[in-house]
Amino acid sequence: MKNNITDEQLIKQFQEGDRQSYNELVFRYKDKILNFLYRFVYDMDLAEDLAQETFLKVYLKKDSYREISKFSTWMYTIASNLAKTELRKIKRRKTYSISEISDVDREVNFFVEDENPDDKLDDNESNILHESIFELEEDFRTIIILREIQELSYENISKILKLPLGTVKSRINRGKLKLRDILVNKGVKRI
Amino acid sequence: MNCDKYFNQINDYLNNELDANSKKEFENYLKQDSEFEKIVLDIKTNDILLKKLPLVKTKSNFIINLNEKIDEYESNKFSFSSILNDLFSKNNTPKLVGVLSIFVIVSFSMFKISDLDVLPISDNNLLETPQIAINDADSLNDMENDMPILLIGNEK
Repeated sequence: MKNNITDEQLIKQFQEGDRQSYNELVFRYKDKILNFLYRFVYDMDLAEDLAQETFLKVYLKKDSYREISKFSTWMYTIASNLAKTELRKIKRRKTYSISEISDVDREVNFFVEDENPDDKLDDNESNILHESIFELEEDFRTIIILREIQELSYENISKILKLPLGTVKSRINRGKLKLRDILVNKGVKRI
Repeated sequence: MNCDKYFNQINDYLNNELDANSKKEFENYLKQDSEFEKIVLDIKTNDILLKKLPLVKTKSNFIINLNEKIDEYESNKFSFSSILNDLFSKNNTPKLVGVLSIFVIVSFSMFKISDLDVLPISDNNLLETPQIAINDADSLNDMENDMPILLIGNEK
């Protein structure tokens, strides 16, 4: 294992032909990227396909990465672009069935991390929260997921979304207000 | 508007990113506006809930499937269609335009040179080739067809 090597060193080694370094990067990021994509598209199978596509793109376009940004920033940019493109395609195909995506998702099983089981939301709570995130406009959804769930820094988000830092901060704020409105409209109350 | 100002500061306040004065000002406003206070508390709760969302994990065969896709790509890498795709990809457009331009220029130059080979016009050639000078254009018809002709003039 290459635990003590940075992502940037790994991608450099991969660019020089070391496939093991690529595998290590996949191992490090597969769940993070899947979580990001799942929150974004709210469909487990689609999220898994997009995660595969993200890593395939990392493999194919490895030489286009330059060490001016963090590897994670570059990869989240790829994942984010793929997810947005896919959702637009779905939107064009399925404008007649708004709820189809979330209906499919309800049938999908996913594994819950069991470190602190008491500390997690139950299925119903997480479904409501998930649906609410999915109802956010794309720009707000992306930024809320990156900041509040993936816990990326403002600087990284700014690079991923190619937005000024001030815009990132104000969009997070507005996104949170919108999410709060959606949850209130669903009858969710703070206890 | 003051209200907008405080709305824009909610996230910074919750993340403890306001300076001491702004924080104090924000908290004073919170005490005055109970509706605003409720909104801030809701957002604070939502932030906590978002972090409690259960994490999902990739399927056990995720890496196997990915490696299959990569192997498939690698085995098709040198196929005729992939070479064509690579050749005509967006990245290669400037190179292709350059190569085509050079090809057109070279072809054009070759054509010009070969043109000169077919019709050598020089003083030496004129002297070496048998010719007949004709003053009257009407008598052209009488000449043998395979004889090279130099037309000097047609004075009536």
